[in-house]
Formats: sequence, structure tokens, C-alpha cells
Amino acid sequence: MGTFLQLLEWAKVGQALWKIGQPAVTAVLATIRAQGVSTADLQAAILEAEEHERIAHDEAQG
Amino acid sequence: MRLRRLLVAVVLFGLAGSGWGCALRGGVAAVKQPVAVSTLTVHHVLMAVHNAERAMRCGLPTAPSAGMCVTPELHRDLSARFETAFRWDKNVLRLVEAVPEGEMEPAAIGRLVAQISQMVADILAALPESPQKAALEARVGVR
Repeated sequence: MGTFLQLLEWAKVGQALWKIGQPAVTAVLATIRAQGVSTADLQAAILEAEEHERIAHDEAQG
Repeated sequence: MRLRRLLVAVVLFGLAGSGWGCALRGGVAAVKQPVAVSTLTVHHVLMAVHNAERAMRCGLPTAPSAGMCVTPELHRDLSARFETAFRWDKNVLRLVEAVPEGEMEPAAIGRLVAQISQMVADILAALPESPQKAALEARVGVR
């Protein structure tokens, strides 16, 4: 019973996740669904965050 | 508000502990897959909003018409907020990466993801209404 209720909850959350799975995040969610998140995925995202932080910093200075 | 609810759902899902049941690759432990999924999802939403905001700057071919585009003053203000959001983003991704296999994630991850989600909601609210903004909201699931 507990497992069934858990599955029901996960289905609801999965539906909410899928709603934001529009083009910007669809590829990530598809990868996650198929293979999970790798260390390389996290490291690539850290580099992206650093690059965007630098761009935002430069542009905030005008 | 709707975006916030969706992102909260992502965070709750991520912090629920387990259940995604996906295969692993690259040495990430099963216990941190859900939180890694949430963190990466929020990261990609933040990236999408930043790229779209930069494309809406007045004078660019991709910008909406005058009155609906992002002025230089607004862009400077939003860039400062993006800088903060990406610093949190970088920090939370590093935290997720550093969690040893099989151990529970630190509570700071949930707090940072919630802060980023709030910042994204605030930035979206500050953008002038335009077709480009509507398209962005549709892309990240607000509309």
C-alpha cells in the first residue's frame, strides 16, 4: 500500500516536472529519464553557471 | 506564482530522497540522483531566462519593439540579480557534486534552490510584457 501511494505521489510530481519540461529543459529531463545525472553533467553546469555569472557581472557594471 | 509552485514541486521531489529509479552513469550515487535532477532543472530554467532577457535588450534584432524591450537601466538591474542567482547556482551545483556517494544531501541545497527559484520569479515579474516574454514564460512553464 505504501509503495502504491508513493508511486501516486511520484506520478504527480513527475507531471509537474514535465510541465516545465519545455524546450529549455526538455533535453536535460530526457537524459535524466534515460540515464540519470552524471558528474560530467554537474561539472558542465558549473562551468555554465560561472560563465553566466561573469557575463552578468560585466553587464551589471554597464 | 505558478512557476514558483512548479519549482517548489521540483525541489520537494529532489529532496524526497529517492524514487526516480533511473540508471546511473559517471559515478553519481543513487541517493543524490533526485536532488541532482532538481538542481540541474533549476539551472536550465535560470539559463533560459538569462539568455532570453539578454535577447530582449532594446536595439537588438531579437528585442521587442520600443516600450516592451529591456532598457539599459533595467538590464543593469537585472544583470546584478542574475549575477547573484548564478553565484547561488554555481554553489548549489558544487554542493551536489561534493556529496559523497550514499550520503544524504546537506539542507543548504534545498535553501539555495528555493532562493534561485524566487529570484527567477522576481526577474520574470520585472520584465516588460511582450511577445518574447510570453514565449519565454511558455518555455519555462509559467503559461
